Amino acid sequence: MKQKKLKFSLKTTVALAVIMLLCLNAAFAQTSVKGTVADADGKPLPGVSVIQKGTKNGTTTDASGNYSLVLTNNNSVIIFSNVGFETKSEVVKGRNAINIILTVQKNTLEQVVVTALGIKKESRKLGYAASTVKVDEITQNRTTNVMKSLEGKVAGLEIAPPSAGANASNRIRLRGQSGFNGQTNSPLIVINGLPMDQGARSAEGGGPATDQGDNLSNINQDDIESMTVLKGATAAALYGSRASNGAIIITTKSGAKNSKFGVEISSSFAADKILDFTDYQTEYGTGSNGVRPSSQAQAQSFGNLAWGEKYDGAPTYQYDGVQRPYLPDKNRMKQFYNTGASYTNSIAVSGGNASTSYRVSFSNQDVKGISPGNTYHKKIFNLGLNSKITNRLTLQTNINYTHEENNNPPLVGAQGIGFSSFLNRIPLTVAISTLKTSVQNPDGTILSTNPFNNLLTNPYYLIGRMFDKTKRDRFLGTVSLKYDFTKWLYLQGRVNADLGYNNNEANNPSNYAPNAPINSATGGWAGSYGVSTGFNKQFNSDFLLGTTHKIGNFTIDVSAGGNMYTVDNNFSSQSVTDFVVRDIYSIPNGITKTQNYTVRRSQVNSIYAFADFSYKNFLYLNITDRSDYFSVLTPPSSIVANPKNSFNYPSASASFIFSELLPEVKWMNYGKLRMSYAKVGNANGVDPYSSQLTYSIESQLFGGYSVANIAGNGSNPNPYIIPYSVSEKEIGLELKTLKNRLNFDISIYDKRTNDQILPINLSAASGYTGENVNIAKLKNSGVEVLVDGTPVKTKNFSWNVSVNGSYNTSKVLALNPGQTRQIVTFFNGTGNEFIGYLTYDVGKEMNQLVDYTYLRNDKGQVMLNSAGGLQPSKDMVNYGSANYKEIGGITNTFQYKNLSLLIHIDGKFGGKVFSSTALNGLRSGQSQASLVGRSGVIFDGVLPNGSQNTISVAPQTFYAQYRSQNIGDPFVFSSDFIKLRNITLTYDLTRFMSNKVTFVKGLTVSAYCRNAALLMKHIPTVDPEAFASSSDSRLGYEQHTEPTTRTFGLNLNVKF
Amino acid sequence: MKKNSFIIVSLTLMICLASCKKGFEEKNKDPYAITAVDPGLLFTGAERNMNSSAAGVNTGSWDGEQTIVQQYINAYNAGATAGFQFNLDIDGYSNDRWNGVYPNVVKPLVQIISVVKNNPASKNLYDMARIWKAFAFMTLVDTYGDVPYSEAGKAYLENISSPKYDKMADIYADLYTELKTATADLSASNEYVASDLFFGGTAATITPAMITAQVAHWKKIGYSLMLRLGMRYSKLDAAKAASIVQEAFAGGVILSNSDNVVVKQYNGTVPNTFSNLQRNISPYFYYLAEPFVTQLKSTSDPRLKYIGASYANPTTITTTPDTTTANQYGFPVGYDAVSFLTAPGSRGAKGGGLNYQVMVNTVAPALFITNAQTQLLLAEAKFRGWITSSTTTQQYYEAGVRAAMDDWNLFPGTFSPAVSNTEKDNYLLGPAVAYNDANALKLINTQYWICSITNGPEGFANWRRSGYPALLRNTYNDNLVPGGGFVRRMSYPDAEKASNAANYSAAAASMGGDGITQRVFWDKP
Repeated sequence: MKQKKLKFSLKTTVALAVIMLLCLNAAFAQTSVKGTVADADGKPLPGVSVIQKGTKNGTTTDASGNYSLVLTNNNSVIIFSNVGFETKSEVVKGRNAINIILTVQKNTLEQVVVTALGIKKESRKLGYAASTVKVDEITQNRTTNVMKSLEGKVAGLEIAPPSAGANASNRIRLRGQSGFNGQTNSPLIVINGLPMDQGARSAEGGGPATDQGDNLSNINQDDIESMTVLKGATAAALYGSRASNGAIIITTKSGAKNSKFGVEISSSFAADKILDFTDYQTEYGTGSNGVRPSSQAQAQSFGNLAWGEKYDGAPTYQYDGVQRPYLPDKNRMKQFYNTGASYTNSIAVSGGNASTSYRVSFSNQDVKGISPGNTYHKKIFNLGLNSKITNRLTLQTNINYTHEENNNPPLVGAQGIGFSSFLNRIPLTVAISTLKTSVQNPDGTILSTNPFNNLLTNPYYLIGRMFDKTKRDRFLGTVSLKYDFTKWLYLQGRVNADLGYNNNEANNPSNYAPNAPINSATGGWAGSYGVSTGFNKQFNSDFLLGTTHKIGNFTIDVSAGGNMYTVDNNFSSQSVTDFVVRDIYSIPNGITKTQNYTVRRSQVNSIYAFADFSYKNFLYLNITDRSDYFSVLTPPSSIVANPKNSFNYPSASASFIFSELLPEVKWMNYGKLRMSYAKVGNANGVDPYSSQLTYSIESQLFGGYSVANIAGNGSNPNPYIIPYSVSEKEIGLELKTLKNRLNFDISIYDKRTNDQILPINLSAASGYTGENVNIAKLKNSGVEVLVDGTPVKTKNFSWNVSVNGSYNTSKVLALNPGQTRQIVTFFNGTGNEFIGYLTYDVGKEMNQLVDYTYLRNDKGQVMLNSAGGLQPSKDMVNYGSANYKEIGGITNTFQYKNLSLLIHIDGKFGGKVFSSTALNGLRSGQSQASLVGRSGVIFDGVLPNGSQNTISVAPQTFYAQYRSQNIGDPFVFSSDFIKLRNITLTYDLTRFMSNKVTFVKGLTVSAYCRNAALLMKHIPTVDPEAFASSSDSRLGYEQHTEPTTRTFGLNLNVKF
Repeated sequence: MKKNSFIIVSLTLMICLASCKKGFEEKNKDPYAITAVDPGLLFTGAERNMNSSAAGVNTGSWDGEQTIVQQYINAYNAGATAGFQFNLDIDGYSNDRWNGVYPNVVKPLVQIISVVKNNPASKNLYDMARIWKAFAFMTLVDTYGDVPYSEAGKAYLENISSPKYDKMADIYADLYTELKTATADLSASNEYVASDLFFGGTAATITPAMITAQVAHWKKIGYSLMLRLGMRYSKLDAAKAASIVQEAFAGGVILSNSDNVVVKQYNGTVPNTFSNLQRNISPYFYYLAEPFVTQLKSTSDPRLKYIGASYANPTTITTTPDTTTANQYGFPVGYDAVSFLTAPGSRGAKGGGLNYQVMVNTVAPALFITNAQTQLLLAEAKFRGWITSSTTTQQYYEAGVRAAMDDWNLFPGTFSPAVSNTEKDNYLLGPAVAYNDANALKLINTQYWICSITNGPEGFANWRRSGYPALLRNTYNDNLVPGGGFVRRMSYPDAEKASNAANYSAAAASMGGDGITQRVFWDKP
């Protein structure tokens, strides 16, 4: 299967190479041509590059925009190009004079931006921040999930890809986290007008679970026509209750009208090599209290401890009873993890006549993850059709169908379980080659490697025995009809469908028991197996009626519309534990069976209207208003007769192009001041039926009687819950100066979340022990800066620098009255990890990392107990926030003729992290830190009698106290980093092709390296980006994830 | 014209969308969840959950009342596990009943009552729910004093998430009215309640005789609770006590073990959590208290073999224990597991434990309202001259003792009968047991204490009311002196201070503090 795909891409490559060679053999005949190049206003353009296609023959225009070029062939094609302008090509056809008008490139000056509801607007009219993504950078620097390649590219957009396998989801946050954990905090994704949640199927970690990707894996990079990031609430206000986190608007290609039939093929290959940051000590081997194992049994019981003797190469017992030289295997990570590979091939055909255009594409992707057994396959079919049925009626259709198969993604980082955890925790004394060959006992049961064998399980026992297979089909369809009554009045109707089918099948083999006892009570073979299927159906229908009027210097656009959004999902699962026959994982073979079937239905009806007012061409005002009506906020009328189930979301924004009033300021080409205010809401925290009282029937009779109870885990189904609201103020400045060679875009925002949904405790006398209420407040505020400059621009060479940076703070303003701290995760409890808490503290930066510290006296000295041991402080201390405050990136693009080089550096700063890898490394004697005090730890502190400590404690005993006393100090690190994220080299070979070979319209080759180098970090042993989850509940907790990777890739793009 | 018509159509569409909310209530109803249930099935749960709940919430533990009245000791003293035996107020033991009864008994009863209140087809269920609710609240008042009553269990139904506390005397007054009206209201011409765990049960055809029998049983439950309630006033207001007791007695109380209110059978899925809690932790630390063992031992009480037991290895309770009377020892009050080793006359680490095969078996029954209790209360009422009856005080007393012995027939691992008539006769002849008028109240209430070994709240309440047995105060920590040296109530759950702050403070102020030496209103010093 995989090989076939590879063959296809090789074949294509060979064919293209042959074509290229043919093209280069061109014929010659001489003639000359001259003319003037000017811009749309008729102003002559100097320095425009004028090149005869397929040759090195070229010139540039002079100060008056004139050029003259001697051609080698009187039927040549001439290419005119200039930075900031659309490149134009002309067929000479025997002419001697060709005057050319170059139009300004879309993304520099009069850029058109796709805004909310898919409405295209000139950038100058926008009163809020909207960033357009450079689409070619996404296709050249290809990642399995398209969002990953946006990391560090857009100011205010934080992308954090967890290290969780080939198809992992991403943590996507715009302007910080606006809701508490448990809410949907990622921006709304709108694909061709179809709004959807990111839908991250990421696992929280803390238990056995895998990251199953997100909805963005349905997008083929090659299909994207435009991608706009609407950062603030104002920009997205028209999406109402789903817009509180901003929106990412993606439009896919539909072909161009009046274009010939064209074929585009792209083929790419990428290889993933692991980045091994492990830095474990190589001085002491397996053992306990300074002694090496003297028997197989000892080797097994010390299997997770590196508190042995100095490595000396002497034969020493290992867990399989074999004596091997007592030496470390220093390169285990690289031996264990594979080189990942991904092959992507896509083909698209497009064309169009005067009234209709179309584009159909198909892409296939095969990925082999670095974790043994991890594979990912994806097929995407995409159709875009744009047709003018009559002069007044336009039809737009987009269909996307995706099939994904994700096999054996790695378990996300957790205490104990997972391959990475095993490799990090088991001393280097045991070699990969040993683990690989000594797996089983003769009876087929696992050969014990360490005392926590059922959690810290030899990966080679699990490979082939444990599986997790997911199949997913997704259909996204949009049909839109627009009718223009007159030039100033139109009506548009649109229906979107989002249909998905998921199937998952997974097991836990016997001897592996992350959360179930190994010895089954039912007498069968231990283990578990489960299958689940889910079907998701979402429909989104809307209409929009729009008018435009011009009265003197004023233009007024008024539109009104409505939307109906329905969700109908169902999910069923069956699982079994314990088996009649060993190692057969099926439902009928299971002894104890559990079934589940759930349905989620909801509906939101909305009406909205918006108006744009323009005065001349420099003052713009935009007002929107939307009301949402929620089914989820409709409790039984017997409980609440007139529920408040509708909410109104207004916004206003203004844009002032002051440069229009200052034509005498020559250095300034464009200057715009913008400001906006919006209030939007989010009902994501309110689940369907959450206001409905339900009952449970006990599954067994009680003494012959059926027993019913009021269902729920003690939480009151509060029928009065409302969506939380986000109000955002924003002010921004855009400047384009020095002939557009130095441009600035700055935004300052203040975003407040009110009525945040918070679970509170209730008096049990109320009947319930808790409920969700609208109570907490949160503030995100910050600055986003984009500076784009072209320091060098000559005939053949240009250098562009684009710097983006953002600063954001998220502050918790209020919790329940009287409450100062909300615990999000108690890592030592809920997650069964070992250290610390993630909390929301009133008045502090959100996502605090909190734990006990050393007990200190007034002088600041550490107070030890009488045995020289550690004592925890009376109260916990705040180590800081897990949130990054500053995020930024620098993209350098060098262009030499047709060769371009992109260098992208990005970094994140101001965050803290608990490293469980450091904790486990210290307490088990693995880390470099554990080398301190091998002969006895005499900790710097005072004894209870006030004297300086002189008591020496065995290091194994001493370091274990950090965990037992919950002292976090040695395990808190700055998670800051700077990475050389990406180097991309692109070569446009089109010009080398003979103009005789007209059927090849373009040929581009690019090569890239992603995660080329980690330039700065503070956390030892791991990549600061190697964390487990894309959710908000385990921020700031690093825990033995799969290693991160460096990717080398090659792309080939041919247009016919 | 055409333009206008399109605008009109669009506006109509908008209005339609906005008003399309009719289906919302239906849409927000989970089609696969149980959104309506026969309230009778909830009643079954509410009956059972007085002692055990499927949710795993306990309604009391051995570390609670049994410890206060010196029947039981958890000798392990380490912070959170040190409770009343060390004269400490530990939230984990005080909050059990509150956190168990309100969500698992009160809430479903409030829900049932709200559903069936005006349904003529559920009149008997309505009255039974009121009687059972009165029982639940009597327990809550006796345990804590002022408690949320009128606003309790109504978070969902009436959006009361911070219920106010009602005055305990007012609650008692209302409980009397509830018992009186609900009991009187029960009628054989109303429906049969098959889901009644105590006296219900399904049958192919429901005969009038079945309804008559069930109603008769429940009237006895109602009047027995009224008798209990009346007796609670004995120290506070003898006249009132006499009047209520007379009324209850005239109405007809439980006078046969077959009328006992008992949850008879627990299965493996829903074990007796009161027992299970004890077995599942570390039985090594659990003992019977010395005063209790001494009482049984000194009177050669035939029940001792079912209550106490000595295990060869105290952590392994699945083996057959030694239950001979001579080998049972109680753990002295006022010591912990460490200080006990050096206590005067210490037997070392070996103490008498509980019998996990019988009394603390996971399938042991839970006895709520019994013939034994009723007979003993009547004995006292007769002795005080509050009831007119041909039965003598002695006859009530002896009937009470015999009924209590017969209660053990319901336990697993007992002989058949559990206690023979000969054993009963011999026991009643014993010098410390045989009835005499001079010691009537002491004898009667000591027996009440013994028969309440598995019913902590009742044993604790009756001990406070009667003052018998006269226990020596526990001097460990010795910090309860203002209350006479004894725990007189349990403190409110700590969580109330945060989740129901204003109402909690008001209640604590009204009671003179939320300590464990404050007294409930009928517990007059």
